[in-house]
Amino acid sequence: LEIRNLNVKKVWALNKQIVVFYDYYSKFQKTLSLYKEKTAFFLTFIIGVICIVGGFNYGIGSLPNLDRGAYPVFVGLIISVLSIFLFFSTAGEETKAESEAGLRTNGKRIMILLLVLALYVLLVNQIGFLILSFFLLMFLQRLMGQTGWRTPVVISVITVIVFWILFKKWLNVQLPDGLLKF
Amino acid sequence: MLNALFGGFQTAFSMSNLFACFIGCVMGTLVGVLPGLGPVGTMGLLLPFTYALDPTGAIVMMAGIYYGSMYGGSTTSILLKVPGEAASMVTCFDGYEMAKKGRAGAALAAAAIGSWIAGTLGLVGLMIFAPSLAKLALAFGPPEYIAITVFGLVLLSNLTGTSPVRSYLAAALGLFLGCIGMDNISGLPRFTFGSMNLVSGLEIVPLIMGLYGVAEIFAFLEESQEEREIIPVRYRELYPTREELKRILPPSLRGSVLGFLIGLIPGPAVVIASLMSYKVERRISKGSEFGKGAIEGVAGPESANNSATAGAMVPLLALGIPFAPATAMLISGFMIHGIAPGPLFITQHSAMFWTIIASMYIGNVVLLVLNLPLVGVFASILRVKSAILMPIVLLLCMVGAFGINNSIFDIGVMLVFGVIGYLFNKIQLDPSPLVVGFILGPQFETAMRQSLVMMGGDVAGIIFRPISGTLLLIAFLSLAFTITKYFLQKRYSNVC
Repeated sequence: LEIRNLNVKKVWALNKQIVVFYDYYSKFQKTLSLYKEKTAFFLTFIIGVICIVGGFNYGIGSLPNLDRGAYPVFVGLIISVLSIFLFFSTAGEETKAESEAGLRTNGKRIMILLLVLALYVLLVNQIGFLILSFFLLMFLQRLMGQTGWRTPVVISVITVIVFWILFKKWLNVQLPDGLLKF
Repeated sequence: MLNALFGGFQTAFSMSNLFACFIGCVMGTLVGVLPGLGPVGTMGLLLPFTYALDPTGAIVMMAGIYYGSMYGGSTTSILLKVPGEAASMVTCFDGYEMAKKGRAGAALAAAAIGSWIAGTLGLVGLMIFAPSLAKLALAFGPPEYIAITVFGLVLLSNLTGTSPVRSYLAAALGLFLGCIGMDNISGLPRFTFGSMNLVSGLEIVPLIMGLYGVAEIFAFLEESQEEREIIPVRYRELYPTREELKRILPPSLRGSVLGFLIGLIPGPAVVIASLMSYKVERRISKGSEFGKGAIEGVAGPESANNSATAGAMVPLLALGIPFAPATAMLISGFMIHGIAPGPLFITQHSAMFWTIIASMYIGNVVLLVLNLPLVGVFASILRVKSAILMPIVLLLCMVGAFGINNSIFDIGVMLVFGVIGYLFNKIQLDPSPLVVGFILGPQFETAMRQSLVMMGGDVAGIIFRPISGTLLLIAFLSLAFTITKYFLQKRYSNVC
């Protein structure tokens, strides 16, 4: 009984942690959407800095013989200066209506799509174009609002076969065979 | 010149080139009809279909796709009030009103006839201007190339997006992306972060497909989808009345000249050309019927954007410098097939140049003949549910990105740029300057380093050359004007 109690307590504590984490996460997301422009320009500023630091590391040389780092330093400076300017000149907070609209958008579906596409990229060499693309198409159709199973299956089979014949056989694109070797 | 053009027509009339032109036009129109996928996205999407062709056939097909997708964009503007691309936004105003009045067919015909007239006149302009500019460009040295790049990027950034400063940032980011990979002069890698895949640099096609195709699919996922109502077109409605035909001709001619001249200027020429032509036509007709279904409001802008396309081909074919994402896409098509456009292209690949010109003309005729009777078929693609169409488009993008080097890495690059394009859209950054910056970056850097060596490190020597000096002065004045305007506007809005 004690052990069970302990587990319940542990689960409860973990659950609480998850709730707290989720709370932080949603606050972070809200802040991001409120300050999305500032966040973006901060990120571009970081890119500019990477460019400058990278450039100096490669070496800038001296006039007239510039080294391979000079141009990235030049471009990095432009990026950084413009980012700083835009960071301070954009409004800190968007209007309430704007931020609410931003929050209402369907970001979750995009995240799922990205995850699935990343998995596709990782696995396509092993599993192969035919099988994986079939499942990808099925999944995408359902994600984008297609109901039922018959249409997605038929469309996926036809598309995958047509693409295989068109690209692999006719246009000589080396689509990965994976598990099915023809 | 006429002999060369005749030779070009002879080559273009070969079965394989005619077929490539025909297929390019059909596929371009079919995909161009899809809202959101403009000419750039369409060309990226359909590029893999050119892989199996010889260089001439491939370029002919690309040009067909370009024209076809432009025409496809107008179809959705007229039938749905959804512009397939920015250039056909103006067509919505009167085209859709005409469609509501039961003259959808006539509006589509006006767009097709206007585009054909403009395409024909635009090509005449291209034939005259491109070879002379190329001859002039033979005298260009690296300093002139620096000036042209700065001039192009500044003008493009000033004219695109919500604010020029944001566009400058996009262009600079493009220049940075162009640095990734092997340095042109020393041959040593930069910003590859240890990845072998990045040593040869980023490929333009996955980058464009991501920014224009995948980003569009993300945006689609976010929006709530509603069924669209398509205005039906009957076959007998397709032919404009004699009076309508009379009204189509003058705006088409005016639009053609205006569009071509605007097309020569770096920037989103097709959009500006169609807007300008609409304004001109409204002023000439005293605006009575405009906005309520005036056929001039369809014919003028449609002709202008088509001849602007031909105008934009002048710097592309004569200098090898693209000033817009669509021409950047064309140039990447050239490069995939081992052709490097530049001042020597017209003299060294004279046969190919004239074949392209001839096939562009044939493409215009094919579009006219094909689009009028088949417009119903093209419009019917809009009846296919997006939930079915979009996944197929995404898979096509992925196969296309993969097909360039047979590399999975390129699919990853495309997806990353899909996310970047989506975020750009969120913060109102136009991706066009990024694409052009990316394309021009490596050439710009090489020219800069060569010029400095040539001038012994004397920067003033680059600025005070007649051609480069003039171009840099224009770019500087344009930059100064934009910045002053920006601050004045800000100050004025603060006072208010």
